[in-house]
Amino acid sequence: MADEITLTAANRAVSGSGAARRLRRTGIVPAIYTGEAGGSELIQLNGHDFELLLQRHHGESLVIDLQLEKGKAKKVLLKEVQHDPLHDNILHADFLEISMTKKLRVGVPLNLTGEPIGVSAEGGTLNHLLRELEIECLPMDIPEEILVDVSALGIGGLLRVSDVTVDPALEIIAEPTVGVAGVEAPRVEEEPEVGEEEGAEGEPKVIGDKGEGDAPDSDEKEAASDES
Amino acid sequence: MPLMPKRVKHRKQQRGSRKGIAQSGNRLSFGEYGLKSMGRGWVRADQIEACRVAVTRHMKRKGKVWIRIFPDKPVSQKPLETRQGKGKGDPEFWVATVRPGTMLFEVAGVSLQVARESLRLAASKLPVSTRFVHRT
Repeated sequence: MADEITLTAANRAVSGSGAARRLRRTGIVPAIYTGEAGGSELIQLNGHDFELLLQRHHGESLVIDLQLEKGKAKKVLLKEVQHDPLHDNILHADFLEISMTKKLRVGVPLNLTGEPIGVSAEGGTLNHLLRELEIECLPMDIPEEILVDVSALGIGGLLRVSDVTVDPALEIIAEPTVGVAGVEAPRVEEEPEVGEEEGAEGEPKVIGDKGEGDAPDSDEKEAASDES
Repeated sequence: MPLMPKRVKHRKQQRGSRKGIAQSGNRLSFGEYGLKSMGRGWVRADQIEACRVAVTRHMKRKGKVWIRIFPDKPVSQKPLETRQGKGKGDPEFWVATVRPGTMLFEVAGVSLQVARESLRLAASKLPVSTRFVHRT
């Protein structure tokens, strides 16, 4: 980690979805803090400050000095941030107290740099297959992002996890054979690509139906049995 | 040939519910940019196809497009000037149920401007209000 991130939190007296919704309306983000021993505490954060903090940093696996109301600041890992699927507003945050001497498993954003030869010279399409890489390391070594240079990739080329070079302090957990990025050949697209000839008249096959015209009959039979 | 299932369990369906917001399929899963629904409704197979054509044409067949919705719901209609009764009408078209938050299309391999414009063209062909989203 390049710099220390500090965040102030206050204790939260209320719980439940209704209370959380009322807090969010006043610009406060409800959160939870879990101690190393396992006990948890309800806390709340200033929504604006927390949003700025997330904007300034790439991934969401951040080690933060969390200042609670009582006691001194604690080293915590930002375990999860929940977002509203409609407007992307922050709904909730989850902090986990960590020991600076114990290794952690975290997901770090994996970003690509450079333009592949297959794209610039041959007109292919770059496929970014893996966007987060799971690593194990000490909390102070967690990088904000992992950059992978893809400029050497030609058409049909595939970069795998085993090809990613990271700091020796980091241990990659992900399978080495998993693809990170690849370059696809340019498409030779035929216009009507969707569907096949089968059922071109507009009726899909009904499962368990013997003949084409049996479907309405089977409905009628069901209706008749219901009446009886 | 419009988008529709290859096989179905029943020819006709009831209208079903469109309540709530999208609980799944609401994130950018494949591409860099996407078109997210902000409203709710039924999107017909021909509307999805029109969007696909608009996006691929504007992207000049570069990049990649993902269609994240599929019309798996048959909608039946009675013929015109028919008296009521005599059972449910025949399936006429297929729709995808869209709730607020549903990711409709995703795009990758093009610049931000091209993606924005192509998805704007697609959005104008849809019966729901939408929002352009991209990875941060």
